[in-house]
Amino acid sequence: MALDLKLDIQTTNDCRTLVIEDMTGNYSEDNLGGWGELNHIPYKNNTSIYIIVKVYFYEGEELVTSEGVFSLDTYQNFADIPFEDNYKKFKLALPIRTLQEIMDEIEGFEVVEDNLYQISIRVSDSTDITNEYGHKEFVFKNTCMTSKLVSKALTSINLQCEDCDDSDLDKVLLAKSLLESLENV
Amino acid sequence: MILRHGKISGFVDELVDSLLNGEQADLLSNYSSEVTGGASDVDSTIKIPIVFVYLHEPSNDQATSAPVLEITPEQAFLASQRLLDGFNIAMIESNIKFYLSDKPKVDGDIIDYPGSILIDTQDFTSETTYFGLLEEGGFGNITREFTYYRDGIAIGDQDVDGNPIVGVNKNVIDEAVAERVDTNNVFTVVIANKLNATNINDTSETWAYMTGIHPAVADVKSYYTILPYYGLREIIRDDLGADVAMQLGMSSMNWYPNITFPSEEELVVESPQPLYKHIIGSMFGLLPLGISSLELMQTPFPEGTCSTSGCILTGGEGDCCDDLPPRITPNYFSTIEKDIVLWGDIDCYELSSEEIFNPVIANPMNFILDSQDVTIIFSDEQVNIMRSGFETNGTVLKQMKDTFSEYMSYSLYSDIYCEDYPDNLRAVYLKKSSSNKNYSEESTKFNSIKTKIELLCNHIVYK
Repeated sequence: MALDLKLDIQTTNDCRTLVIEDMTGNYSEDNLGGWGELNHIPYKNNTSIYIIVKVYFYEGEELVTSEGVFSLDTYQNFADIPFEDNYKKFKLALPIRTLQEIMDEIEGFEVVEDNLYQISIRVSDSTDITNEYGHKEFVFKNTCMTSKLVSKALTSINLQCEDCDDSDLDKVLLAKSLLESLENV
Repeated sequence: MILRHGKISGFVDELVDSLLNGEQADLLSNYSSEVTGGASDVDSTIKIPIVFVYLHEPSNDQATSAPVLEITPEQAFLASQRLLDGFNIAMIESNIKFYLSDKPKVDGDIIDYPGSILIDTQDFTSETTYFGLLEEGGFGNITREFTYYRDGIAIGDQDVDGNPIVGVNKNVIDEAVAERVDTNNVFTVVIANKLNATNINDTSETWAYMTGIHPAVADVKSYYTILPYYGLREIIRDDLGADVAMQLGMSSMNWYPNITFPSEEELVVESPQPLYKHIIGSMFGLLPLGISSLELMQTPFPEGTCSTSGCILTGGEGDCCDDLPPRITPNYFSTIEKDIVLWGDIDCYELSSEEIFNPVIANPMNFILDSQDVTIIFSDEQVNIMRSGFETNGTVLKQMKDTFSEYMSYSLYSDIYCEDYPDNLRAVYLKKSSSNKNYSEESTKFNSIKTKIELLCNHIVYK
């Protein structure tokens, strides 16, 4: 089986950093798409790994996209790479400011805004980038800020009062339900 | 640094200063031995980040006797682009190419205008204490405060007789530049108003044209070059703004009352390439124009020499290139010299007796080549000396080459990196997502739900 790349994608709690972690794992009977054995081992001296981030967002009424390419080699200062000689289990943390350096269109973002992110990983020969060992695409629905807003709304409702306006409770429960559907779009 | 000649070339003075310092002399000698030994493959492009630093005075309270020089970031950027083009043309036969850096400090912010930094000099001051004639009579210690605006930059700490030099201590400029640029990683050109060479007890003003240091001593001295505004071509002055051009013209009259600058029309040579080659070549390890033996360079009236024997860095009298003799002109600001070829693979120029006994002075702006600018080229040996510096471990030049990508934002670097690849390859590989799938529809739905949630919650949270 060919390399089956797996990524875990999330943001930090403050919504300011996009974190992308390699979850591919080692090759085994239970993980035929893992690193090594019949598949490629991502040695640093012969492998390039590119993370391509594309975000869809609205500017007024217009849907626009912004895309940036981040090489693990170039962005090693932003990556935690547990192994000395290979990229297995890398964790790349891209602060919003770093994303903006590459993706001019999101210069107005103050955080990694809640949007749909199309994130791809490409693994190739470092001396010939056309010689590709594997690639895969993921969709990350970022709900970091929206989740915080819903939590804040939930804690804002006073349930102890005698003459509470139940409509607020209805609204926040609806928001919570919508948040779940947002994550399943 | 000690000012040996009192005028003209800070490059020469810096070099002599280093040669007289045992530790620095060893560095120079070792560097020379290493880079002249190997051959360089000129087919590969050496990429170097560059930044132009403009010293100006946008709001100077001292502006009573001379106009204030104020430059906008946009004007500086325009000038930087033109200087960049000129520098790259000057280095074309060496295949060393400069790129404007937008991240001149590795841990610093990305700058708005690549390769362009403006520094406000209104606080540039320094004090010098020296032993001299007191106003009330007798001798004693005297302290004087110098400002960049009024006095310029002191090209040396003292002259050959131990007298201090008028002007703000160069350390002030060193610190201001170091705050903004990693000068051992980014080739740095400081554009300043004036380099003062006047002895503190001397009433006659003398001025140097430019200065910089040999790469062998980059870790001991600050590795950057200074080029005065008046050395810029008129078109670049125009880039900096019509008012700036006028201010500089007026300033030069204030600062150089005894000097008549030749106009560009008088220079005949239309290209600024000799000037750029002189600056870059000197900073990349070639000896500056006008060098002779160390002994001759220390005499009160240093003589030029046409000897090509040996190399001054290792005790000889030559310029360290087998096929290129040192050149001199009698006066830096003198009228135009005829038929002088300064950079090129030529036989030794026959010096007249008058020139031999004049201070060793070289003026790249005075080149006259009957419009044959194309003949002003680096020799193969010079190219090899410069390029070998980039391939020798431990040199500042190799450091600049090796850390190139760290001094560019990724977007800028990726464009440069992709210069070497066909358009179709870079477009397909580096910028296109791994599939053609378009998530516009999902994104629209996502955004719609997100907006509903925000409306619901904001109503509660902010009511």
